[in-house]
Amino acid sequence: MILRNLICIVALFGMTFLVLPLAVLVGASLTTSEFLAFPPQGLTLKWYAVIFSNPTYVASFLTSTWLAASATLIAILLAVPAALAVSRYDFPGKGAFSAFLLSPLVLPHLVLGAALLQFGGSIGLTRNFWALLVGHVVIVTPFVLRTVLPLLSREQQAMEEASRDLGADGVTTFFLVTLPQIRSGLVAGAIFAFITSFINVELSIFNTTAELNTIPVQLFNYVQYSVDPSIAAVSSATIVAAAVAIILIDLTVGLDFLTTNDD
Amino acid sequence: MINSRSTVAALVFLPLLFFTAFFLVPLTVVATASFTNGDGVPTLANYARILLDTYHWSVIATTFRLGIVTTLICILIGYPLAWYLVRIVKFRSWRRLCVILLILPLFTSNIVRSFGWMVLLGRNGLVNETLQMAGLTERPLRLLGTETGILIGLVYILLPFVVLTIGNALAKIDHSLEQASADLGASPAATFWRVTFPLTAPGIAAGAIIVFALAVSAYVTPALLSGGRVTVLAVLVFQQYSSVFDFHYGGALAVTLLVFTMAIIGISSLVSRLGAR
Amino acid sequence: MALLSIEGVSKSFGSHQALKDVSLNVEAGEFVSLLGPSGCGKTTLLRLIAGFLTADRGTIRIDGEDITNVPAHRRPLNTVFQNYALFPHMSVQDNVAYGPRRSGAGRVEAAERASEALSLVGLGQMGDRYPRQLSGGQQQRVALARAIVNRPKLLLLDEPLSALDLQLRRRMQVELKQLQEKLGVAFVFVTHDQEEAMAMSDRISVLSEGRIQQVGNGAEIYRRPANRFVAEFIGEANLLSIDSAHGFEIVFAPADQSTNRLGVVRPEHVRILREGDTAALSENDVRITAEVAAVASIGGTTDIHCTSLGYEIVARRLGLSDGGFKPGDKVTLVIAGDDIHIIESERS
Repeated sequence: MILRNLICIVALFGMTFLVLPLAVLVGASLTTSEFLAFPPQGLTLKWYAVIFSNPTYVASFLTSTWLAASATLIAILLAVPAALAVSRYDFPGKGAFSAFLLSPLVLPHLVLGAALLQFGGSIGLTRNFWALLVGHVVIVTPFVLRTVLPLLSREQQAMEEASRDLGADGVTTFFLVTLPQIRSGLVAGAIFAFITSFINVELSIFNTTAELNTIPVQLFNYVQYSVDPSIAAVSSATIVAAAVAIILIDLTVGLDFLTTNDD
Repeated sequence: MINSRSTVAALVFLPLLFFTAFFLVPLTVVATASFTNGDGVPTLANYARILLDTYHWSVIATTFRLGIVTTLICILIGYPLAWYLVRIVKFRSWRRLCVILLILPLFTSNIVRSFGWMVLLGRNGLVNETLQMAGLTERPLRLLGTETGILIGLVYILLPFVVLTIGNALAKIDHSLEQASADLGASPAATFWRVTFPLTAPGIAAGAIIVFALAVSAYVTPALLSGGRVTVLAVLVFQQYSSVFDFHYGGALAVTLLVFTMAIIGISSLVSRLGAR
Repeated sequence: MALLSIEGVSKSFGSHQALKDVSLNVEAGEFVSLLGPSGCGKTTLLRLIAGFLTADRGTIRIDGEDITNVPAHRRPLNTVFQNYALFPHMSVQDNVAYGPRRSGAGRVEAAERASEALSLVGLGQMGDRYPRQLSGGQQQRVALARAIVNRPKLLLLDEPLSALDLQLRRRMQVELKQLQEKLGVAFVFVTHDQEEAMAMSDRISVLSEGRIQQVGNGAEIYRRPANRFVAEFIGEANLLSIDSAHGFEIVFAPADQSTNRLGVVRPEHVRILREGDTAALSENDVRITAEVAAVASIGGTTDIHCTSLGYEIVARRLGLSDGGFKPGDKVTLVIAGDDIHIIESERS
């Protein structure tokens, strides 16, 4: 019983620890003061008005969105065929192939960013949208691959065989049978991919410029020199967006992986 | 399978091409640069500069000390938290809220999360105010710009990974195993240490590896919370590539970071595999 | 000309040879079972016929046309899958209409044909449901309707009843057989259940280790197994080495002396008499003295396990009565000479 109470205390401390910094930023963004204050002094939404009327922030926000959306789309176009090849066929080097495509998950993004800067410099692919895009595709593709692979199961394969048995060719089978089956994994993978791209700093920081910047890098540059409530407002806007995304995932695919089977 | 060879080739071609061009080749370029000097002559001088120098060793030591301590603290807090969420929480909606709050930090930028701690850990931040009000300290503690500050930030950012991997392992345990252990006369403690804990060990190992790999390669959190006073390997790498533009020395630093990380992950997974026998 | 003709087909997976030089013909409207233990190659053979695998050697013909290298979706046959493989994201109606749509039928025509196939399997009202809302037996019927909707001449069934409980399974066996006769479609039916194969098939093809061991109707295979494997796999058998046989004068060799001839005796053909009781013997009977080792009643029959010459010989009596036999009793076992099936050149 004592142990149980101790666990509860540690757990609640842990949850508080996890929520505190984000709550502080959301709170601080509402302050009426000209400096960061928590608890906020008074309540106002004026700092949100400030950032939404700031063209630099709006431009960075659009760049980040466009970048994350493009990277996610390309990642899907690369990961789905790769997942099909790995789950449906035997070929030499299959293990190495999937490990290769999954390895950006454990590789430091900073090292990859540096590598792309150096390599990009030699082929003229630096400090533009395309330079950012190729790096982001590399780091987000594993997320799509990892969520789609487990869905291409044996039962799924039997359904594809049933479809071919009933006279559908490979392409028809993919669109009528395979795609509807992996849709949930594809949506979850795409959301993870989008978010991962949207919040990335370590990779983007090498290829951004004053004119072409992403929201996190913009924030990073800003935070190092000055802090005011408008930065808290930008941060808090991204927190709210993340919360919306998570609730969407919870509603579409469910986040019940901590639930045991018998309750 | 009919025409399977050409089908595989068609499916694999674009992913392989893309990853070779924008992943394998760039990393090879970095590795090659690290073994050459400015004139393209093969040399080990870049590595000698790192490995024969006490300053670099102290940076490496700081980096890996932070990585190891972060991993340990994450497990010590993460295990009870996972246990709480899986085994103790009775209300589905409360667990659901907790899971959402657990994942929320993962969906926000490292910048935002570190920035939150900058606000909290400042001289007049909430942490110092609370400590002073509770009478635990006379004067405000200097937390920003210390290893402790970075540690708090890293634990914060990486804790959700451990809770998720351990919680997942806990949720998958078949209750009848624990019931069987109790039925055979084991005390609750014996059941935990002989049945439950070994079954969650793979989850702990998986979480620990993710946390360690991300902690030693973290750049944003140390950069923001150190205030330039504590240097880790990733910060050195960034300086070389962003302002000094010495790709040979920078490449050697990047390769050093990679090799040390992989070596520690390799040793720890080897140890845990031997321990599992 | 046979509807389906398989000639000399072999298939390997890596170093494992799943099928070795298999040949088999199936006539139009015939019900043929592929029977064997798991890993015998029966499912591989079915998948080769369906086109999900390609043979390493040999040819497969349908109506005389070589389809060995024709992709699955162009083969004029359909399959009922082991776990049904119903499309979970489509209604029952759409599942069944999938085939007609692919072969070019319009929406309306496909729907009509699907409804027709569904009423044929007794599910006329279920079209709007989704597979997960149906019971196992109903899913089985949907899978059947989906496979027959295009009216193939040949239907392949991969252990279609294995997921059903015993009672439902018995009922589906009867229904499936009736449907097969009504449609006049040939069935190639994979099963590991010999009773199922016996109850339903016109012919049974027994497979083991990638080879066809014997093909014949149920009675033939039971009475005259071609080899030791078939004798042991189909029903129960006492296997005794034969020392000499002149007409019905058969002498068995002790168990530790193997000969090149093996006698197969079904338990129900072994009569058991008390020692010295010679009343009902005839000229052709073979007599063995034995000792009772154990008596076991199972449902409607009683098995008396006896030992003689180092063999365990089972005699089966109808009914629950053990006839008063107790372990340790000295008895005479009597087997009519024409109930002993002799397999040549099989070492025991």
